[in-house]
Amino acid sequence: MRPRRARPELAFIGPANGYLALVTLFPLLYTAWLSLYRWNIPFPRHFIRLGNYATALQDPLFWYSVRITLWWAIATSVAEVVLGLGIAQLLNRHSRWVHLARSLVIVPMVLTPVVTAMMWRYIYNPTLGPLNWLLGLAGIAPREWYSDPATVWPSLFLIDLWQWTPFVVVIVLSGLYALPSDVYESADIDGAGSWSKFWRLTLPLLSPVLLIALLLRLVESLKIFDTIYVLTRGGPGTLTEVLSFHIYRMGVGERFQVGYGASMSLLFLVLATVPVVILILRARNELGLS
Amino acid sequence: MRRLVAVLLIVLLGNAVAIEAPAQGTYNPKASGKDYYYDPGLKGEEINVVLYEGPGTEHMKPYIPAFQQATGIKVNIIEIAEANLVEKEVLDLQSKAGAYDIVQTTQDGAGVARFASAGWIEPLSPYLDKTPDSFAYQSDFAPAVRAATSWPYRGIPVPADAKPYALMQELTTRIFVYRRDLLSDPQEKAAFQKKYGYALGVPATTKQLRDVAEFFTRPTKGVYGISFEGARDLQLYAVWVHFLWAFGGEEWNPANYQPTLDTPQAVNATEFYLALSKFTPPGHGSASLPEAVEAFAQGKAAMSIIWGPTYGWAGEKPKSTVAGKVGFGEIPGAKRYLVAGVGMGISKFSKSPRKKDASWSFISFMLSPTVQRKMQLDGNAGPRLSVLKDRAIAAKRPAETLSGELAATKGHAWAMAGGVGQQFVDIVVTNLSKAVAGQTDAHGAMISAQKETTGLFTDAGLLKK
Repeated sequence: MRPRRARPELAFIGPANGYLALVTLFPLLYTAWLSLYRWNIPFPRHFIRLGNYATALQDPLFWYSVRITLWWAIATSVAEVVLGLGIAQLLNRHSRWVHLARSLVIVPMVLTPVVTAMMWRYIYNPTLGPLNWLLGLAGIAPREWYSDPATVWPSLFLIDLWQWTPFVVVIVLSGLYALPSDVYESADIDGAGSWSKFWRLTLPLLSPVLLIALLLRLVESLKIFDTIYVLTRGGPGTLTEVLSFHIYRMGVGERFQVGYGASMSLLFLVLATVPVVILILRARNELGLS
Repeated sequence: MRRLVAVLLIVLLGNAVAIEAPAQGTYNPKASGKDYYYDPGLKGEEINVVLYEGPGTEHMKPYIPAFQQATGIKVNIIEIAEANLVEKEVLDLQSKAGAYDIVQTTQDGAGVARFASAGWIEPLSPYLDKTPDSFAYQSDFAPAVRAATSWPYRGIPVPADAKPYALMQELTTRIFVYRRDLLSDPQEKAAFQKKYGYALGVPATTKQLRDVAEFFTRPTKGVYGISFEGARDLQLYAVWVHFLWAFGGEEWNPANYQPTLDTPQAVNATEFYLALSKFTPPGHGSASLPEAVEAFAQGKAAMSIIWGPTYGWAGEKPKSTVAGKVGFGEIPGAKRYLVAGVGMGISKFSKSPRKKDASWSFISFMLSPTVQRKMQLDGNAGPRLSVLKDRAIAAKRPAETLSGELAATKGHAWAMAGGVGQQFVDIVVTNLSKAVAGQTDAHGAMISAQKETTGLFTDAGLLKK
């Protein structure tokens, strides 16, 4: 009989894994358990197997929320990466003013989303806000920025760009600093122009960094809640009822259908995981990791 | 001799203690001579009171030190934004955590109905029974007000089997405010007469309301006919439901809980709401209570439909730029008024009977005739009839007094549908908001609301399949 091998490493990784299981696995399993019940507070709960999932998948508002959430996440994260790349290029030089601009550019990112939304709520106010006042000076009629179906999405889009493009700028700038200078020196000797260097050197070399930035923004954008909660509460009508807000409203915000909310949360998890996994696999290939 | 002196001292000391603090069990709170529940045995107790961030709470705050001094009960106030209040309370009550000894019931009676039907708050009858008669619950709280804070709810008067579960510290209905200067302007009168064929005056019917709103809508001058809420929140419901009742509609059949939102009356009311929305300042679709009141206060709307307690904001200095030019009265065409109030109930999961008694002491103190009178003079909108009838207060706070009188005489409880009143409101609001945004029309909104609320009531067991 072979003697049992001592596993001292378990003593080191055990507590951390236990903690992780407690804070990650337990809520997930609890949510999965809840999703199998019809539990509309304050009424007693009933086990209904996958009934909540069937209800969600047949609910047009759920699918609408899924569509607009995906659309929102892709549109904002791509736009922020493109814009962030451009701004980072502009800031990737040495000058006193550029240093100041680099410091200022991160200010929006530091604000909490709720504060940002409150601030923009005031800016967009149709009668008292400065935006309509400024447009009025130019002879442009006032707009109902976040209550008009025609302008609500661009208004939200602008807030997100304003707040989160700086995040991409910071990531891309750190990537730009890390690029090898000898490659550019060779390109200069070969007579490559600025545009050519950007397309043929900077972009390929930066692509892993851009992919990471895109991944992080995509995950964050899928979870948009605060801005919607403060600014539109899903309105006008149900136009901006993104999935996280829909789950909140049905689960605890208004309807207290806890089981139904839990089932949609898990569907949301799957929805968010698929593109993220694809991007992670892509990033692994780009970075040459196994 | 020494023994005799010692016995005498003990007897004297005993008497002194008995006079200073009545022994537990012999003290009768009903005979305390106060107009609230007072028990010196509760001295040193500590209670947690959850309240919403708003005017009702602000009016109570100055009296908390007086309560603590008078009773020796320590009060911890936990203020939560109104939008998040119910969510926090429900989570605490559902989990039986007992973090709050006193919970706030909002949207009375939806809040009361939800908490009481779930068995989360204590019936107040035993507490009222041991409170001095001068508290005068039965005689000084109007039947509509008592109905909105009792459960079960079957209209007015309060049914015999219903028990009170909360007391409203802030009671309100909507009132109609208008610009007196505009409605009495001779030039405006002549122009109105010419256009509509009848004299301009304070509108008394829904048709007149629409005409006057249309008449004063002048976007080029930045002036609009009327302001009221259009954002997707419960304030939208609070306006719309008055039109529903004005057009002869009901939310549901009180006999069997069958929703009646697809009726011609409900559709007409919704069409009227949407028609009137065309005469509101820009941003109607996102206008909640502050925006709607502010538009009137800034002189951008000729009329408004506001909560009584916001009259000071809409029509008085320093907040209002139209102060001195504002008239008020009943909502044109209204047959009933939504009784909305913010109340307080005792959590069933409060940690001990002593805490529950201390909680009742706090509630009854704040609702006592003495404190209510003072609060009303400060601008609170309280529920007591004796306070509403007080001439000195009526002269100082006429609009708030009208609001209270309307609640007492024409009040109707807010969506008291068991545990699903708030959900009912949310369904109606969501569908109305779709109509406001142009995603559907009045008929489509009501058909959809009818279908969803029928499902809601069926699932809740209120409506038989």
